[in-house]
Amino acid sequence: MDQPAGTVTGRKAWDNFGFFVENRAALVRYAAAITGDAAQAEDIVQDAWGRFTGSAQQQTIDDPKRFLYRIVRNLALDSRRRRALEGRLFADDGGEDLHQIASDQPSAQAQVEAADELARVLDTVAGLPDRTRRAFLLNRVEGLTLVEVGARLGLSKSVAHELVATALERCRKALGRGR
Amino acid sequence: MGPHAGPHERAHRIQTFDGKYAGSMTGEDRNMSALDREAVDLLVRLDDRPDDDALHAQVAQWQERSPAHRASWGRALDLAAAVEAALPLALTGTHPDHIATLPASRKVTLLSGGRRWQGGLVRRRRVVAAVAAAACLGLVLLPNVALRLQARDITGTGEVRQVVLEDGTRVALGPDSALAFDVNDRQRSAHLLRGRAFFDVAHDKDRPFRVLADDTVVTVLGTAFEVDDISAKASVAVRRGTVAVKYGPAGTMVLHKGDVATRGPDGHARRGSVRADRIAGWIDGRMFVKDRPVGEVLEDLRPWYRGYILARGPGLASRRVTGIYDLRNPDAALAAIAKVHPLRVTRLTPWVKIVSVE
Repeated sequence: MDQPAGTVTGRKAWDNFGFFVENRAALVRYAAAITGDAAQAEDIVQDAWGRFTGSAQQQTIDDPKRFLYRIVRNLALDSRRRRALEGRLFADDGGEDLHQIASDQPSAQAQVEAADELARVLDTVAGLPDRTRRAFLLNRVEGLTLVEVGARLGLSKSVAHELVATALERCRKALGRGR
Repeated sequence: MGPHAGPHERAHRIQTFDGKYAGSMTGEDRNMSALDREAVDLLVRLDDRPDDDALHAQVAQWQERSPAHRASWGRALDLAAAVEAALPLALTGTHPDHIATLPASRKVTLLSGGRRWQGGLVRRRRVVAAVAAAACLGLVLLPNVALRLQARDITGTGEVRQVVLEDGTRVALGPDSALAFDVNDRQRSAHLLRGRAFFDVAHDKDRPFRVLADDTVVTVLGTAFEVDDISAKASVAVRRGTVAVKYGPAGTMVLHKGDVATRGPDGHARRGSVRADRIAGWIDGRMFVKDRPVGEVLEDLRPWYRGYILARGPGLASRRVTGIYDLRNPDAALAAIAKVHPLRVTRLTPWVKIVSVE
């Protein structure tokens, strides 16, 4: 949908920037909690801000704060996953030096495993009881808060939480982790 | 299931699907499993209130309690990351087994490509950035999706997404496009929010299939056609069957195989024709151009180019192009156009090109 240039007023852009400055430290902390790496968290937050402003010029963002946190979260999880993929290559060899070898691409083996993981998660989600699946998707994909998920499905917040956590546990078991 | 999966894994998986996993755990397993569950609970809460100071402190303290706690937290995050990578796919039907599992509201939106922002001189520029392969397709259950998905709409350039709806309708979504579906017992409708899409509609006389783009409504009964909303002037081309096109308040136009309706600058619809096998060539990366202004062709190339194309010059509107171009290789397409027109391509950086047409 084409929108005329300048959909976002200067005022709004400035407000967003003010929000970013005020919350930058908190965003970095959130990213670091996910990646476990403070330096990388800085990069992620910077990247997130770039993407945020890109989107903000294209469309009006109704809840900039939530949106920005969500971008940070997705980037942090992506980076964590990439690192895990790369790490898996070397885990079995256990060599001290091996992790220093630069690797742009995970090996074919790691990619096959990643594709297999996707399939397992998809199977698991499809096999969830209806209510659990809906709660899970609303929370994970749409980014609704637990309170909002509860309101949508006529459940309490704690039941919504329980359903989401249960779905994650089912995925964990399907992935064969945490045993 | 991957080729590496041995019999043991397979057996395990069946167990989980029966929901009887807890059967044979050792005590140690049980403790670990309890910690893992605590970590997941914490993570779900942190996702819910990522700005909550007290919760951050609680997460930090929890991890400090033992190396096992810390490891559990790490596993919870790895789990969330693996799930996150798969979820957009779970909803879009790219995994054929899951087409029937669309959520009850039956309203879904697909996005492809990622036009990041628009500016003055050039209406469509794109951010160079990064391609998160797993996030290529997003989908949401509500109409006002675009905003919910924002965090997910960072996707590949030059991608075509093919989707099969539960009624058997096949849809190919062009690069940098967004489409919302609303399917219920009485009707099926798709709203092209931006970009272009090709539909091969499954016949269902009780539930007409409609496509909306801006104020254009296309109604079909079993047919294959393309709707293109690039430049906000929805054009419709029919490869097979018959459709009725209604442009805003203007009258309805009936199109048959090979017919194309486009909307001129004055807002009036025009009928044209095209070889039916050339409709929606972009699905496999070809672009058929017949006597169109260079500027329009550049506009069509733009979603396929990983970077910015800035176009300028008086020739954009006056020079006309005919040919077949390879969309997967926009540089070659530009070079081909440059052979017949005074087109100058300046490369500012690997990602930014200025195309001037005298």
